[in-house]
Amino acid sequence: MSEEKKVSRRKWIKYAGAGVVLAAAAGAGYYVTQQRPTVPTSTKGPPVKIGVMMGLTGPYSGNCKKMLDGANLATKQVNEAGGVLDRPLESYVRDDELNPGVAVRRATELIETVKIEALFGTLGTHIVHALNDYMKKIGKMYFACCIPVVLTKKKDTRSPYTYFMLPSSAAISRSGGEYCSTLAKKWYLMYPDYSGGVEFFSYFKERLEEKGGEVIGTDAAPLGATDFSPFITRALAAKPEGLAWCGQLGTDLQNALKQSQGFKVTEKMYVFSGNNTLTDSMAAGLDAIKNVYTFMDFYWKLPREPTEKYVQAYLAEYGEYPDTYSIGTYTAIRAWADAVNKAGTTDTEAVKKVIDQMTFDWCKGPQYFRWDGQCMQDLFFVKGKTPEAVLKGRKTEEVPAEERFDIFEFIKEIKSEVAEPTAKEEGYE
Amino acid sequence: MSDTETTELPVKWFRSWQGLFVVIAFFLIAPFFLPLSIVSDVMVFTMAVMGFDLLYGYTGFLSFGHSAYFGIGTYATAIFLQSATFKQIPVPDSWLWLAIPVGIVIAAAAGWLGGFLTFRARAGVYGTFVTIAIQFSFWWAMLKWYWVTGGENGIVNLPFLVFEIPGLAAISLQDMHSAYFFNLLVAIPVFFVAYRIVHSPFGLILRSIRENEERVAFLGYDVHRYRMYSFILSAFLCGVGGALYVIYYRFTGLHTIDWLSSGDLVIMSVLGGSGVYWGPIIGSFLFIMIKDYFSLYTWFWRLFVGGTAIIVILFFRQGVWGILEKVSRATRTRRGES
Amino acid sequence: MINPELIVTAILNGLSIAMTLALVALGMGLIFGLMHVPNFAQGNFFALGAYVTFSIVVLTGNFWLAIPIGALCVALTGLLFEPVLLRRMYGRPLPEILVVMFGVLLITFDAIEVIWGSVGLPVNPPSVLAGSVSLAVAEYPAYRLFQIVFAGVVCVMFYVFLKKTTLGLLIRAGAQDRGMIQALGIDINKIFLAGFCIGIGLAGVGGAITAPFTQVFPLMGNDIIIKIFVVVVLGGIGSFRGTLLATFILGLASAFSALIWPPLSEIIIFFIMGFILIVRPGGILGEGEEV
Repeated sequence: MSEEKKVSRRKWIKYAGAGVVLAAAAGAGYYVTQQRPTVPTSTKGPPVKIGVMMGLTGPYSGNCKKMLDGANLATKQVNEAGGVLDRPLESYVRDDELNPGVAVRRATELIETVKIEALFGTLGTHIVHALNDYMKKIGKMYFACCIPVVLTKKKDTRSPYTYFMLPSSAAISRSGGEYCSTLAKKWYLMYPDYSGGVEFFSYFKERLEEKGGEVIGTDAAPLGATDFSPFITRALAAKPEGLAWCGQLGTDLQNALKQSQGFKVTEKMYVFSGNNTLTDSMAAGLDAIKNVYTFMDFYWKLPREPTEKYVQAYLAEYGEYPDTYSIGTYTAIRAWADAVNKAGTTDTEAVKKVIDQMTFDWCKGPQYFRWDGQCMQDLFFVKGKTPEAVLKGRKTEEVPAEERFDIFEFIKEIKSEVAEPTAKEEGYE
Repeated sequence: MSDTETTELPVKWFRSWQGLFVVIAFFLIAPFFLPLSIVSDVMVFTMAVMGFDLLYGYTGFLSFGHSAYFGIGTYATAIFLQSATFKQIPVPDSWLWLAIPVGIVIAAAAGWLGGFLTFRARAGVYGTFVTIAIQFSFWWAMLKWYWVTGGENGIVNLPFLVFEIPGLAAISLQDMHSAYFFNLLVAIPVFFVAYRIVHSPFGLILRSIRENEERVAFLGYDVHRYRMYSFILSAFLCGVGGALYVIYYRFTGLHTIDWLSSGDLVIMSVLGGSGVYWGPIIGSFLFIMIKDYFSLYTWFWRLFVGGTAIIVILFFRQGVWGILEKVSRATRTRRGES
Repeated sequence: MINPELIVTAILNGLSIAMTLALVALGMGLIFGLMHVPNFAQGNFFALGAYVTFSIVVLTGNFWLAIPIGALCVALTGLLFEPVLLRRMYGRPLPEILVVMFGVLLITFDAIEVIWGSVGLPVNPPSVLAGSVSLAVAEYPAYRLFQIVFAGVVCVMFYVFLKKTTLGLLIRAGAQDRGMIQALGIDINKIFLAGFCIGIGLAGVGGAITAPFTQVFPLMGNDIIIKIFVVVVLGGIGSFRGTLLATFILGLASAFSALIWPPLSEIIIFFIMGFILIVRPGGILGEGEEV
């Protein structure tokens, strides 16, 4: 009996020991594998490390890959210009799978193991919330490169080191509503049925009605719906002067525009699209965006020098025109690198003092950070050209890239100060 | 019960509670070697996979929608915490921990509903399809009910728990480390209870249902009732995992109730070894490590995860546990021990 | 709301949804009825059909070519999966087969992204179908009418194939009694291979004709497989009539609920499923099954 007891105790110690060894080995292995930089180190001095994270797999992987492209181009250009504080800039890329738990887990690893100075990227309000909370406790800078919602920007939520690169949903919708009120009076509004879509819709409606417009009907299409025919039918039956897709993005928007074209909506009324990207517009196709008025926060054919430089560099690097999603990460990394160089240190407080006072212009016009971390910038309205104007009698394949991307007619630019939420709305007063 | 009957029955040496010690030891020691969030995730998912495995490994029913109960556990806990913080329900700050039992109970209740609907379907593969459809319904409910659940944004900025020992002191979990060790305090008894359940007569009946359902019925047991018990119990375990997830991360969202994450549970269970107490922890640990590792080098880690699942089913039906068992048996017989 | 234009449009929308679902669900039913393998990845073969169509249209500019070639390519991928993977799984318990098919789902999903990238891709309908057709009471997009008609024709062809051709007969026999077929000296493996390829080929056709309508994006497979699960629960997985009935009910319910209250249209199928499960657990047609 005691023999058995001795044997089982020995086994117990053996297995417990094996467990500890396994845990230690796993930890060591993990630590070693995490030290992989994406840029080879040079010998000038210890590199300055930044983290780049977004949903490279998952529903928005297309957009996130564009964000990564912008980030990689920025890192490359910073290094070509001499680096940060005369040291090479190294970016460490992580996939957050559009999952906040994974995002925090991998951000923890980037901060604690890799020791990054700042985090760039991320798409998705839930990710921004989760990371904003975490980065607040850590005290490092975080540049969120997607459309922020008002909740994240409120004074008691936002970390003082979190910056928002793209215009907020309020800015996009309000400017859209205001512009639509100048086009026509009676509007039918469509939006995707989820909290972000509702937010787009309510800001749009509010500003449209404020400026004298009238909303004669609304419809909430399910998020990710592929079939907009029933909604378009209802909209047509209400006989508005204009149809506005306030909040549809991505594939939803492509489908909506294409199917509207099937119902010949643009011939009957004004059509407004609340937020387009290059990818969406090219995917929807020339026929679908013909005569559609649309909001863009970046138009690749702007006749401005920084835009042209950026487009040329992007074309040279990737062989295609830059998508809207690439400019958030690009601008953030370049602005941060600039600020660090001016501050002379990577210390967060020192860099913050510099970056809060900076005006920069990397790709679309002058931009600066406001008191709530929002990047203030120019916003644009464009109108889809008719295919004939672009193709000029040739087949699509015969048209050179320069002209093939010339699908919009530039109409108007406004400053985001007009449309961003006020200090009162965000709890700063 | 001898350990030579079938390969799926537990090996004698770990029927004693020393096996449980190793599990607990792992969670106590690992935070010093691995990033904390990984260990917390392993703990939380071990709980959920134990729940899943109660159905799959023991009663033989494959539920492909089980992360629904994990997700509901997270949402119930989070909504309670949020309502209490904003004083919509009268809960004093030091009683916020009530969120945990509330979350677990609601998850178990959802399990009752889910089990009821699932077992009404025809035998065979339909039950599994129903679990997927049920999960998807829950996902849609969480998305559409956005004024309560936050929709796409989920519920964020939840508070750290605060405890008051009357007359002594107020303990507040200030950071993720203390939250993790608090979670461990909750997890250990649950691990122990799960252990006792699977090695009890109840667990034996469940296993028998998998082997030969008719015979169990002939023996006078109400098979349907035991199935329902196991379903509710498994939802309970998933709910514990969900509640602890919220305590640690202080947020939740649709990703916890997403259909594809149920597939993760299945793969973790199969990888570690189904029908075995140790399977879930081995499976969730390996799965997270494999996924994180491949994710560093490629965007297409799903290819490898899917491939791993297929290879495991084809060639290693008992999962990693089966491999360990074969090795341990081989060394033992060589040394002449029983 | 008693507007004839809206009603007609809703009926047509519902039919169009139903017919596409029917193609994919019938394919799944064939594979399950014959080999007892529930093909989780059926949605991704649907997506594959759409993606191949995109590529053919880009290469040749001809949409009419793309449909048969797309379907054929998808069917041919069956040659990859069936002999290598599925053949090892026959006879294994159903849960294990399900897990393997889930692995196939993950692999096919990423394989599509590896080849075509993650960005949504456009496919334009041929110009003859691009406009709208004037029906008596409403104007309706011509392409959707084409979807309904074409999918309907393919369903009829499939039915004829099953009932009237030798291979169809062998498949039906193989579904009913595998052993008997082998006893008659016929190689059951070839039947299974043919059945699998036809099953996924049907999904490929569904994808090919859906491509111009919804754009081609990686998640389109996930979107449709959820609906297929509900179809299967409602109509039974091996039953021709049950599948068609279920898809009609779901398609029309979806289209009409969009008229009444749009957010309902996506989730009404789950309500219907829940209702049927409680009221009539055997599915709409009850317990009997026929291929």
